[in-house]
Amino acid sequence: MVDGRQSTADSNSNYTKRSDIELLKKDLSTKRLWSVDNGLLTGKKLYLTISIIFNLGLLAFFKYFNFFIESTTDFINLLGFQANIHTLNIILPVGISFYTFQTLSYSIDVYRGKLEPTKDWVAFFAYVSFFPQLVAGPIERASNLLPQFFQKKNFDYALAMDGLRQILWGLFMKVVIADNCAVFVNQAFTNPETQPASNLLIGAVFFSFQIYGDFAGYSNIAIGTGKLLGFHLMQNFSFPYFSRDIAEFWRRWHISLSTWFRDYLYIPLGGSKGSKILSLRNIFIIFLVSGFWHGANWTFIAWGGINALLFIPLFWFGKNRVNIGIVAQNRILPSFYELGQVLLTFSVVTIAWIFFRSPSLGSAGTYIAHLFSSSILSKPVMDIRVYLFICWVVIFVLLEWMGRREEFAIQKIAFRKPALVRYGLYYGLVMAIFLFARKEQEFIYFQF
Amino acid sequence: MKGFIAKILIFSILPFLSLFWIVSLENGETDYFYNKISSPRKKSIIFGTSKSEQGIIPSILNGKIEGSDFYNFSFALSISPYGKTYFESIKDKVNYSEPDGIFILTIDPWAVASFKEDEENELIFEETQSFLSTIPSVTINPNIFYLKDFFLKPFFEILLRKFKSGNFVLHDDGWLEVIVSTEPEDRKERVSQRLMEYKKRNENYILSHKRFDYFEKIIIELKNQGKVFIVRLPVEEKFAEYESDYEVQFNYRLNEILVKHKLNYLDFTKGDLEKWSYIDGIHLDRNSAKLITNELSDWILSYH
Repeated sequence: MVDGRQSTADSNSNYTKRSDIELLKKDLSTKRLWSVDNGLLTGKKLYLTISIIFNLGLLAFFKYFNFFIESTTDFINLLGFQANIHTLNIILPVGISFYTFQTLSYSIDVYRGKLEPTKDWVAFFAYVSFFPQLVAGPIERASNLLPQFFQKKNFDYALAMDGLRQILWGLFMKVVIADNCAVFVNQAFTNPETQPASNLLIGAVFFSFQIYGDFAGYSNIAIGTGKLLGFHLMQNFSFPYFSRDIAEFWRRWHISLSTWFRDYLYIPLGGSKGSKILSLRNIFIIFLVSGFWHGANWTFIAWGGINALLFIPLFWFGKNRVNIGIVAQNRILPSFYELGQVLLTFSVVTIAWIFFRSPSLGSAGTYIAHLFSSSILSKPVMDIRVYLFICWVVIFVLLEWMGRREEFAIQKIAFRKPALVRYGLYYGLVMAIFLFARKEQEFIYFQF
Repeated sequence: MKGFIAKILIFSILPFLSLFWIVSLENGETDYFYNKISSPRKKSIIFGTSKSEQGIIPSILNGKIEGSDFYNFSFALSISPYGKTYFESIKDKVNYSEPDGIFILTIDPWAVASFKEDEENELIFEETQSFLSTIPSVTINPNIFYLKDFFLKPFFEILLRKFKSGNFVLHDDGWLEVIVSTEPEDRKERVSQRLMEYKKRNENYILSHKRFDYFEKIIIELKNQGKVFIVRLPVEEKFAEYESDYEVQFNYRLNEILVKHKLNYLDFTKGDLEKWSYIDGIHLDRNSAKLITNELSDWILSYH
């Protein structure tokens, strides 16, 4: 989620220059963003203010209005007063969290002076509504995507083939892994108190793969489609389940959102430059906001809070940037120590996901309470298909492991083998998609 | 770019061929209807809803009535009540090149009833949302239109059925055999579930003139191709009570059609309803389906 060291953020980004960050930070901390010159907001500041109010206003209304009303009502009732405030039947526009953030990124970058404002409306709206990533990311930066609309596009065979491979892998992740895991996840999360803990364990692990397959699958399809059209979109996932600690996990999971929060929220708040207490506050804010971004429910906020609690010890002891490169970079297999780290990280991430998936904090608590009961050693009471899907998950993890040094798992797999082997792999993936596809399974992240 | 597209097209051939080969292995245990809408046109056909789909066994009729070649083209209440949708599918399924067919139309009040406020508006009849209304043909194989949007389960289940049997078999003659637990408690549960459905249906449905009109249109269409017989299958006593609410109007309208077109009608609800065994109060079990089809064969033979 956050680097923990502002200097790294400064050095590895060509658009988060210190002067810009200082400017926005100063604005935020001294409320200059809202200040007036001679009674009027002027120039860039005015436009930025309008943009922020408009975009966040849209998001607040469509996504959070009912949540705030319901929470306020609950709170008033808790105090012993009677409140009955009506909510509205609001239909959440698909992908609103994604394109509002993308539009905000444009406004802030222009304000910071690192991007020239475009006068080409077609290019601007093409950037905001670029169809491959419109509804579920990656959340592109204007400085990366917008200039690409002005470049002449020529068909690039190698890039198009790479895009096709990425689409194929994305479809496999979504259709074979995520959608099939979902069947058992739904069973496990429906009345968890009536099921043996071994079922709940499989359900929780499967959900980790469902959410990854679903979201990273979509990102791969989007990025691959972009490549087919000659566009380069940013990498959104980098084998997060091979992370050795939670800090590494957050550098590899939903990268476009993590870096967005880092650049537009964490660093302007002060990042890790102030006292440790202030840094902890910033870390908490960014994780809680990230949770809240996912949905108007306390479960998402709890999920963000848990991740903050897992991250803070690493930050406190200065261990949050120990594991930078990919695990077992020059080796085929990880050491036992690394394997233990990876499994431990996966386990805590999986427990946090339970909050993400549960409909309420109460049901998440019930799930976890029943998960850690003696029946965890009993035989799962599940359909024969669950064993089939465990095999698929194992194959998926193996392919991810083999391709972990690349942008996506099958980018260069079997490149040194005969073409027959390579095309055999593609054939196998296509057939798996054909055979295991289920009807109308929506992407989870469409709701965000 | 041409090379790129050519490469993709060539590569696509093998997976599609493999998929169609796997679909060809479907033996009626994965999808309730696929084999029905991918089989060729038929000379003699049984029409109706799920009661008929599970209750009449064409192979028995074929064994008794020489040269008949019956096929059960019944579906379910939400798919094949009498109306435009079913009428169009029937026209597609009948083999017009073979005359002298025999057609059995099963009927009960539900097959000619519709949701109360929309009983005459055929544009919003419930079957307009079904695959029968959507797919352009019920005789092509492979039926890619059905495979794309309506196949009940993921295709890997076709392969899984080779190792693990399912709970139904759609036989080659179109008869759907449903395999359920025979434990009294399970049966009681199924009957109670069905009763709830019937109660709800009874409250919300009403006989539709429009549906009766289509029933008549189908008769006229089929009479040009051979003989038409009308049959009403039995249900358990407590379900018959719900149907009796419609009895007077239903019998009056049906009788009009029977007389007008000089049709033979066999009403099993007039006999001993407890003579038959049902899996859930309305669908006959395997043994009763055999018995009733035998009786039906003898009755048809008496007019043949």
